[in-house]
Amino acid sequence: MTVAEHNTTTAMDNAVSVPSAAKVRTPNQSWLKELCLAPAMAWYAVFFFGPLGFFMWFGFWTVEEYTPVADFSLKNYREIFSNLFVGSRYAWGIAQSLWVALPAAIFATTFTYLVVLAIVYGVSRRYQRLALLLMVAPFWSSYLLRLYAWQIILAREGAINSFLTTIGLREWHISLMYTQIATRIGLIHYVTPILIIILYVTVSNIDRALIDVSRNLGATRLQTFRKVILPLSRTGLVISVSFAAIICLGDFLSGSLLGGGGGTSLIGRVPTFPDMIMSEYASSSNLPRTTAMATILVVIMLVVLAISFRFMEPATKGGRR
Amino acid sequence: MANKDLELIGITRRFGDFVALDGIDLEVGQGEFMAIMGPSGCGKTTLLRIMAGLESTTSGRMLVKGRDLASVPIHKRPTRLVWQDYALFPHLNVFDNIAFGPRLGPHNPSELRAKVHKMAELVSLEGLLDRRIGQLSGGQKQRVALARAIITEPEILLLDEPLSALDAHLRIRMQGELRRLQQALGISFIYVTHNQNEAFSMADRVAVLNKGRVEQIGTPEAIYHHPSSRFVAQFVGMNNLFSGKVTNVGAQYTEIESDTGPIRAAVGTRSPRLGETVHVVVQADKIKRTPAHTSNENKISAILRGREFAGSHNVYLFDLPDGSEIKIVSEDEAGSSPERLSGAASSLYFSTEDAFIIGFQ
Repeated sequence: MTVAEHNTTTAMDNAVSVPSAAKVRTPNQSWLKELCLAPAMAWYAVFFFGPLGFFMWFGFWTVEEYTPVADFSLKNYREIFSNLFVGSRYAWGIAQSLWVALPAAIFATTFTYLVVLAIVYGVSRRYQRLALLLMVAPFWSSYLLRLYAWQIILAREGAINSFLTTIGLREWHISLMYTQIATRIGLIHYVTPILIIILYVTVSNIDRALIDVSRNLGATRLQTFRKVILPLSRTGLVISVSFAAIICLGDFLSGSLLGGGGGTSLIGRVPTFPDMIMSEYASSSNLPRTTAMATILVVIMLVVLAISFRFMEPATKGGRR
Repeated sequence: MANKDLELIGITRRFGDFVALDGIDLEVGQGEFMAIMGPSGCGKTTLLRIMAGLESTTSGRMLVKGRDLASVPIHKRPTRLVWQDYALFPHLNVFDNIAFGPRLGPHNPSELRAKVHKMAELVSLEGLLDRRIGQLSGGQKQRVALARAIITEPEILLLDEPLSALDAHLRIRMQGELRRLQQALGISFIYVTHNQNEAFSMADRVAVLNKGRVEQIGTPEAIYHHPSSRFVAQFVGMNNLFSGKVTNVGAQYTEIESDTGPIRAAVGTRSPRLGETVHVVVQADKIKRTPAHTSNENKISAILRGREFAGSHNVYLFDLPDGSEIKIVSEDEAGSSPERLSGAASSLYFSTEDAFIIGFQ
């Protein structure tokens, strides 16, 4: 073997050894990663994406002799869209749903935000967890039970009105029962404990030093809130509103128990869209069409979510110079 | 009174039973660069937060340019704090961070824009005004924090270990810039640090804090060469301390009997009494490994324990017979063979002139 040959061989040996050296697996590159993710993936596949996929497909089925038949027909959607403003007037239901859900979500978020600000900045660290626990506690009682409780409170001869009669203010009687205001009260009570958690995480993560900086730079308390705390709560507030709005849009229990089905509102005595879906489900034999309606509700929720993502974008405005 | 930027009179702060600050008296002259130095937990950050109005005092008064700040609300105080970890607003870009203070009051947008650009120029941030905070390096964040404070034209700028998060090279660079900035603005800087190099290289005067009390205030030279207490001597510089009772107070020297043997120290303006327990301070670079063969030389025996080679000089660590440690700094002895480190007995020498006594009544 000549020297040149020898060098070539060595170089080749090196060339061979380099790729194998590059294949060293870092601690993060392990089949364990896939293994750990597998149960979660399986769970989502079997209990979420699978049913959702089937559910959406089912909306395209047709009914023959009272039995759903697998198909890919737009007939259900055509029927629904032709009934938007006439007949069942689904558009009114959708409008009523939005009119109930969005103000309820905004009110719930505003209210919760104020409570969270009070807890984070007003309660000493020792008692913050306790305060939080007390705020979340209603979540552990049954939603249905809470709605019945509100019925007792809001009813024509309920707790509030009985109290008003007792103190001689009969003419001040409230008649909130079977209005969409009652629906919203039930919904707000339902979502508040969840929003507390979302907003507490947001507000308690704001660096206290930033508040000190702001005050030290000459900001009053109000200016500090407007220019530091509020902008830094933005993402949490948007998540909170969209989260609440989606829950409220999908709920029919409050609408039927407190709103009485077609509760009154500015829009009129119109049931919410989920209420319409439930009525159809109970009375109609066309299950695929009911499913198609529910799919429309899911799409509306996705639109709400998409809009909220737009609002979540960073607060910094470019080119403000 | 009028030529004092800041006066602290008996500032005390207690947290329950814990006394964080115990009667701090401090005066800062006009346009002075004052460093407050001390180990962690000495109360220096609490003191700074009190000066910024972010912390209340248990008792004591604080005057800025002769004006008592007791009744001045925090947002109207003329003192600005620069935070150790900068605390920049993450939702604002560099421009908006700097413009935060001026925007709180009435302002003219075009004048403000010019002012922000001037500030950016002053702290070398030109061209970075559109950046988001997350896109900045540590040094750049530091400059934004400085500009954000300075633009509000404070009477005193308070800095809380502002360079501690920077690397060594950048730290030296920023020290120079801070000093330049302070001279350009002509306002007082009060600079809190636990790092004596920072304090000594920038400050006009240094206050050494320990356990909520001021141990010594003076120029860096005075504190370095003439520490007034055992704590300052140990905290500052590379000082060696010998403790013992005074056995002889002479005209040429004072002699004490230490655990290491008799040590003769220079006579100062005042003398300790016979029998009093005192400390003798000798700087690390004043102790030699070879005798100078002069009449006024101290000699102690010690055991070499280690050597650190620092390029231009060596740092040696010795054990004394009584178990205490002493440090020696000596210029690199060219061609010296590697030391046989463990346990080599040697003699050390220092002049009576370089040993001075502290801690007597």
